[in-house]
Amino acid sequence: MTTQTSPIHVLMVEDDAEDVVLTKESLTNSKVTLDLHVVEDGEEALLYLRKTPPYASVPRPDVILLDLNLPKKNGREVLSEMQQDIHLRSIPVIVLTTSDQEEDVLKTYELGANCYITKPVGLDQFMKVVNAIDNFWFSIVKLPSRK
Amino acid sequence: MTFRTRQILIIDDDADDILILEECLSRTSLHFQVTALHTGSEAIPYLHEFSHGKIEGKPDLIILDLHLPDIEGVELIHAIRRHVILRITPIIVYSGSDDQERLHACYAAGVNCCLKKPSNIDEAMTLAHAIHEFWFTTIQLPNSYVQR
Repeated sequence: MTTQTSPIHVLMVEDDAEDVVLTKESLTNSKVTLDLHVVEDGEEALLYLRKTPPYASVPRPDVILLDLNLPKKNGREVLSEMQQDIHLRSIPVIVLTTSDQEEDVLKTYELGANCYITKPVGLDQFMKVVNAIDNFWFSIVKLPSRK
Repeated sequence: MTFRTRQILIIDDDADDILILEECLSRTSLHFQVTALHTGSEAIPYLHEFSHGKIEGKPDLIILDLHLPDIEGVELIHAIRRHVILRITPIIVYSGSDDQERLHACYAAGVNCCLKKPSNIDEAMTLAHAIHEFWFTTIQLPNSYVQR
């Protein structure tokens, strides 16, 4: 298990306000201290990751929760640009999306996603998935840049 | 709940550690089969033979001890990520070390996650549950679609 010394910075890239609220709600019971930042499209995500104003002073995320279907730039484009950037490619990306299409799953792994989760239908099931992410990624996994 | 037998490839030079993890996995409700390799000199020919169709049973998941006696772990990760069939198979790396540089190198090389290597039965059980409940229950694995 990891020993937490500072909050885990999570960047959530999600344009569905309801999913953001549900995710925040599900993470309120987390055993670790989380610092969740939300951006609503792929372009904003890349500005954030590259610390481009207005994101010049934001922390580097320890983990990214990425939707695939996003305005401006979609999740696949974000993954692709991250893979080409030596400073960004080591940040773990959890894809959380409505799609369960084979093409999306395979392409997303090809683009370097660390895991692919299909958003379940129903409030309880969605919260269960977020809790599973919390229990695994924020408690068990050794994240880069964290001592 | 799926009852398909999951293929797990474990690469670890400590045969006892593999046996303990197998025992812990068998205490979950996962149906699985383990292929165990112990060194780089076993793993590299395995990758070669696998790509030539000489080995059956594509792994759903690869568990790799970063510290192998005869190959740099990150080099083996690169070899798997270049492999024609296994290039998107999830790799879980475990290690006893907290070396940040190697941790970054592992993620940059394309591992799916890095964990602390279990040092007792309780930690091995935690890993077994995580494999069952997260990797084989919550997420979509590429092997769900690709059949050899």
